[in-house]
Amino acid sequence: MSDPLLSDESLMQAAGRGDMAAFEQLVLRHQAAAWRVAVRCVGDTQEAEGLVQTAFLRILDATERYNPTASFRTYLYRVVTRLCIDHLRKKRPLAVEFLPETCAPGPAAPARLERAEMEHAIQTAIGALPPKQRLAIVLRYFEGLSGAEIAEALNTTRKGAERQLARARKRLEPLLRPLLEDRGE
Amino acid sequence: MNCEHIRAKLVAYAEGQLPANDRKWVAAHVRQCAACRRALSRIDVLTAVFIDAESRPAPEGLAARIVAKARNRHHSTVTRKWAPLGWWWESAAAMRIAAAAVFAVGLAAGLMMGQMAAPEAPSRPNESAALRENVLDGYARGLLGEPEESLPNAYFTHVLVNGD
Repeated sequence: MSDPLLSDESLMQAAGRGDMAAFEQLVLRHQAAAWRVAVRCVGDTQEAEGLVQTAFLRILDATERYNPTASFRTYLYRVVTRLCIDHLRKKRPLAVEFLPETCAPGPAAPARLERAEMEHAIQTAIGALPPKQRLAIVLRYFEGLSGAEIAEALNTTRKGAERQLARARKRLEPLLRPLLEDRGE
Repeated sequence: MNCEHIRAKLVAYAEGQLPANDRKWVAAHVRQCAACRRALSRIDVLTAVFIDAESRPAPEGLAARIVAKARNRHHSTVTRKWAPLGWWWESAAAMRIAAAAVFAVGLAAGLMMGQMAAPEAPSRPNESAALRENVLDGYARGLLGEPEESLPNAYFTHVLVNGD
């Protein structure tokens, strides 16, 4: 049985020794982050789940070789990012199925519809980006990663990551600015 | 927090520098306050837009499915550990037939080539006679006069009787 207070790196080492409970702890801690990146990148919930499963299985395969030079979180992002890029390169057009089936509780119906439309517009705009730019935006704005962490996840230099972000911003801003203007802002 | 406090934090918010709790407060305020959202959009349009993006939770049971898959894979790896011809059973039937045919043809060809190339076994009809003659000849030249119980005599007798 694994101690819930163990660090990610300790859990990885335990998983490398065959401790499946430790692996389960890792999954429970980090599945949400992996899911958010995957679903924002590929836009399809089934495909995103497949990618997340593959990511964690690859991590499990690599536990014996795992060397904690970076945080586990960064390592996870790197694995998920790699899988997303490979997936997006094989599958060109983005299937935007991102209209939520149920809206957040509380707001009135018109506000919910507006929110759903906003979400659809955001996902469509992100989905039009090339894979690395898309991931740079997701990691920066939805996961809050720093420039260095984005570079690590994308397996590039800091300057390379900043270039991807700059290009993505340049493409997204004209597409998304009208969403602010529609709200009177 | 009022707008003044929020505005002081907007740059740090846009750059992702705020601690998690402060981020929540700023985001919650900006969603409700058009003026602060305008201020944020002047710093970074995308931050102002994405503040409304939905945060979709992971599907229910995702972790359990991942762990179940990992356990099944671990189990099948352990139970199939000793499977030297596992690749054979995993291959498609057509591949197995093709592999068997190639093996059979290769074996037949090898056997035929072996037959054709095998040298003739040397004939040995007179080998024993020649050996006996040499021994007798050697004995005759150098060992005449040896006593009957001597080693050379015994050897000579053995050769004559057994022919080797």
